[in-house]
Amino acid sequence: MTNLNKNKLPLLLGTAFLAITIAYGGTVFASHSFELGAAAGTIPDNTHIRLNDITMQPGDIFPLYDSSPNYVSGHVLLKAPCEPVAEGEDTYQPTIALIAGHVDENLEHANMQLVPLYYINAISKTTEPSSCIYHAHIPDPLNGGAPRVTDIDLINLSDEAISFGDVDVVDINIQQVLGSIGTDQYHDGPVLGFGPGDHNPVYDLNDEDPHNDGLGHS
Amino acid sequence: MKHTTLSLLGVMAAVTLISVIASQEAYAHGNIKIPLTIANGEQRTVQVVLGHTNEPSYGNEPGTWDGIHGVDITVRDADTKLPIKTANLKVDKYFFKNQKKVDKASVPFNPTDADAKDLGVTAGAVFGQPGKFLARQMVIDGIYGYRVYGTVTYFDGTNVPVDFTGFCSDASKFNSPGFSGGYGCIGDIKDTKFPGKKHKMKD
Repeated sequence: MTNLNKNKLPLLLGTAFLAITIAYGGTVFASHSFELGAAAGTIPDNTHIRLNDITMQPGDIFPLYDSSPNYVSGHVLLKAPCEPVAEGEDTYQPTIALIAGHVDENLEHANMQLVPLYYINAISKTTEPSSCIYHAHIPDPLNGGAPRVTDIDLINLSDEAISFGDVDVVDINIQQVLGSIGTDQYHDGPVLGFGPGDHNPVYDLNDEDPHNDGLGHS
Repeated sequence: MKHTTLSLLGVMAAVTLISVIASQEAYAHGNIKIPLTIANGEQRTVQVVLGHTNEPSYGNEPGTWDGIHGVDITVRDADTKLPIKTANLKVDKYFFKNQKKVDKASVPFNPTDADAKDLGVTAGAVFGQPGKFLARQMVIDGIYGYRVYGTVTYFDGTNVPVDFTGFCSDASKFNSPGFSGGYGCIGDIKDTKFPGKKHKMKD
């Protein structure tokens, strides 16, 4: 075996493992009935944020994306430290919280909610230090969250500092503008759909529990 | 030279006509909101938007205006504005010649009062435009209204019955309860001509 091949061996094994896991692991990349995608002939807007070497203290907010005044549709990938949703569970939740909605200069029109997440177990690492991958659909009209999204943030709702690993990232792919928050405002705010200790709702299509599959996938 | 001048004048007249038409403010479409309960027991709302394509709309005038203004229906989730791609919709089309006929007709709307009708027309999905449904037609000057009925399939597969009537603004008295906003009736393209019959010109 040459040096080149030796260097590539872990990569090849990893790729093969991923392919087999996806092939036999079920509907990892489910398609959702409400996903709009990008219109033909257009290029989606992608934002890739590396979280390595970042530590968020309790209560810290990390703004990731702001498309005001337009509310948008798209897709979010989050790779972050994780823990089981409950003791003994094989579905993991991120220790950090992903929130989305609209942050307005006038708080009456502000509305931020926890984003429903889909846990991608096939490419998550649950041994210490853990780091799990999640997908989210912006907006998600079936599973909840804010209906009109201009802002996406990370927030530490735990009572401990959260340090991200070397390859933890957020990737935000915005695919279409759905309207203007100026004409479709939120009212009676600020509406904040989270509090200390809260976690994102996490769905898992690939465990044996049919009750945490969420709605709208095929 | 004379021929060139005439051609130039023709082009300028056409450009002026198009500019006048294009600069008019488009009417907003009317819409109705229909509540539903999804599989997890939560409430959602479907919004069905009704109007004519390419508003403001004018009746066919050979050589001037094609009068092609289809019945334009948009189906979407009311809160997110995400388009809903699956729907099976039909349209009953009604026509009144003028305002007098509308004023004479009683409320609630009785289809026999209309001067013309075309029933059970399919509003087909528009290719490449999710949530858009269209019943093509060429219109004449007058007052149009549509009953839209069928089923919208929400994102989780829940079927939502749709049945409402929305007339253009001059006959809004016939609208179903809950139909809000409106769309313009079919005008006469000659009314946009300047100088036209209404304008006095110096000798």
